[in-house]
Amino acid sequence: MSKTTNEAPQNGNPIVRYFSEFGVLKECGINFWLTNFIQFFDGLAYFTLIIVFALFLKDYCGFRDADAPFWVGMYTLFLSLFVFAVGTICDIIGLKHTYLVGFSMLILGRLILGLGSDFGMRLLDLSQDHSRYIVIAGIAIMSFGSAFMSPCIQTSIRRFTTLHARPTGFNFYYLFMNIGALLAGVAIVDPIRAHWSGPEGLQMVVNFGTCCEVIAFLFTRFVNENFYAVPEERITTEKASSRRPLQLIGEVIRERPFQKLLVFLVLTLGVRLVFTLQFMIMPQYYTRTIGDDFQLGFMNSLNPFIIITGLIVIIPILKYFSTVKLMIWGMSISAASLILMAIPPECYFVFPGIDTVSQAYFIAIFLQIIIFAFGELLFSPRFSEYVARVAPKDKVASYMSLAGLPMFIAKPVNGVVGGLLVSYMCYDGIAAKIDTGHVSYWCSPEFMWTIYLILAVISPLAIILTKDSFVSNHPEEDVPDEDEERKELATQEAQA
Amino acid sequence: MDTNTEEKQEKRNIHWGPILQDMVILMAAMGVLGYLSKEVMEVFETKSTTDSLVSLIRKEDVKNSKDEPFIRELKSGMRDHEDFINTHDNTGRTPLMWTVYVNFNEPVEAQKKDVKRLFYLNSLLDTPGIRTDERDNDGFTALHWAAWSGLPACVERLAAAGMDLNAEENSGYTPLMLAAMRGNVETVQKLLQLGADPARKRSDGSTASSLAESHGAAYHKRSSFVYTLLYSERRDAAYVKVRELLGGDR
Repeated sequence: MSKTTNEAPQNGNPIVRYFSEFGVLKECGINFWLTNFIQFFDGLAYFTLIIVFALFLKDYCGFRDADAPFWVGMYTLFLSLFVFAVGTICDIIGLKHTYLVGFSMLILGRLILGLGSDFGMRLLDLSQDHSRYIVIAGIAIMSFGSAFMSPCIQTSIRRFTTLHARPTGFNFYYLFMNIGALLAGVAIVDPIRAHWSGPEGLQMVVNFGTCCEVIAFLFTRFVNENFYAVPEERITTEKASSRRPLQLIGEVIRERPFQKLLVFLVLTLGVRLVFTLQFMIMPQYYTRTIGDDFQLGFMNSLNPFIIITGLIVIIPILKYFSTVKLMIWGMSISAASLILMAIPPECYFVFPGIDTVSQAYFIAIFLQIIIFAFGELLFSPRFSEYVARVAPKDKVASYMSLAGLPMFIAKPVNGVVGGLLVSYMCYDGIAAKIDTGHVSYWCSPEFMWTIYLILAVISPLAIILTKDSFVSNHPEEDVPDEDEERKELATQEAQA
Repeated sequence: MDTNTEEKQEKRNIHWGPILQDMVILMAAMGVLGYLSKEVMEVFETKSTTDSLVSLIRKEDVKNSKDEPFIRELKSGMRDHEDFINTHDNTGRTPLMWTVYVNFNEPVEAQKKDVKRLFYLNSLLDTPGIRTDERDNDGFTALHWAAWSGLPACVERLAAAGMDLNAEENSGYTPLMLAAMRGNVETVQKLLQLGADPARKRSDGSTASSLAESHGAAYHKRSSFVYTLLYSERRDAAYVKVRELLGGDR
């Protein structure tokens, strides 16, 4: 049993137990806390942007319905791709230089994103079509800068925590990140949009994020990169991180466990694509069915709220269940949540207090987010855990980093398809047509969700049918030791 | 060898040039994939020559009583496309209809937009060749959109341009009915002042007043439920006022 458990107070209350663990962080120095502040402000900037990104591109920058989700998809795709490369740069040029390069690009990209459209049209006299290219350049630069953050912050957390405090350090980092996500919606996006309505509010949200990045950057200047909480780690360089991405793919692609994993990843694609819809399509769906003054931030804060609650209360209980079973349950719950949006809003009229279509939409959205987040809570940590377990012991890092491959391919396709579905079945102005009875089920947002529901349901069904093929190759680990589990989870969640 | 030298040695051993090279290959592959998927889907995309113009209207970026990019786009569109100003998009809407459309639950938000949109509405109505009587795929006129959106100043301007106040869309709704259904008090007031007929009936017998009553009842009823704490529309009082304005027509 690890040292952590021996020293942590054994309290029956999971909330007290969870927070009492943080006492160990007292031994972490100022650099650890600076890193968390950097992460917090960078997280605020990221989450505020991602909540309004599709709407900003559509309403402020003049992207078409089919283009806005596509570019949001490309942004997240480029971000994941760049992480491959910059993970190593951190080791080569040092933390402070990496922060400098990353934040410079991030701030520049964000400035171009926030101001590029106006700059192009007003100062360069470009047409809106042409000024979009400036915005796209901003997205590319920003995604490159963003990619520096996650590996760099994780390297910092690792460097500035002792072995004893590290799992808790990562736990705290993950908690703090989700608190940032929670605040981004309710405390930032909604108040800003309430004050500056319409496209101007969206631009303000983007520019607010840029200010957060500047604050985060200022914090990086006080980090002492030469401090190592474990001095022996000064000379350790992870070999896996210095490998070329294509070399990595070439090495594992012929391996039987990786091929099996790839099949598994493709099968789970349906439900995992739905995770990305939260930022690609949902914002348009919310504002078009309910109204532009819809509390977008509040709804997006429900997800991190459930995750935070789950981290504290539910995750410790889940260790008693097998990984594959939990994944199936998580996927099924997440997929089933779409039923709430796929049924006609009139079905909600049987419930007391729901008498109009917008009331029905609101309840459908609210319940869907809660149920979906609960499913995600069961699925996501177990998914990373599963990938780690099916990998041969010496190739866990490679398998973990390549687990995103099917998603890389799916993201741009999903962006285009999602955008098209929105332009036909959830076009701007559809609320007026729903009010006047002009929208049949086959042209309604409900049908759009039915399509995604079918796609999402395929995943748990396929996994149930082929379950025997995907049971862990290391059955001895199916009921892991509690502390090992917590450590592993904290690290995997940080990676995720 | 001391620690710093070892560290430097380790750093020298990492060649990040090839890593970046792979990144470029992966990025190019993803870029091509994205481009191809866009190309394949392009046939299904809903594009209109007026997309940029509409987008600029919705951005409402009026500075010193003018919006240069909008004026430029309008002029260039008029120069390049015949009947540009009356072009219908995939939903059948013209730029004029888009100008008078907003979707807010709070009437006060819609009224803020009303003033801003007036600039664009005037610009379009002053454009030679504009046809105000165009209808979208479901028979909505620009006046229907303005009434549904709750933009009284725009309603007044459209009426001044000669639009039919009692035009019926394909389901028989008049602009007054849509404004009443949404609880848009000022718009109902304006339409009544301008001479809209409150006694018009749809085929199912519903009138502006009965629509306001049924929708108002729904909002009134729900105010007693807990979840209104999460989502309050403050429409109840508006419907009472609308019914007062329309009272006695049934």
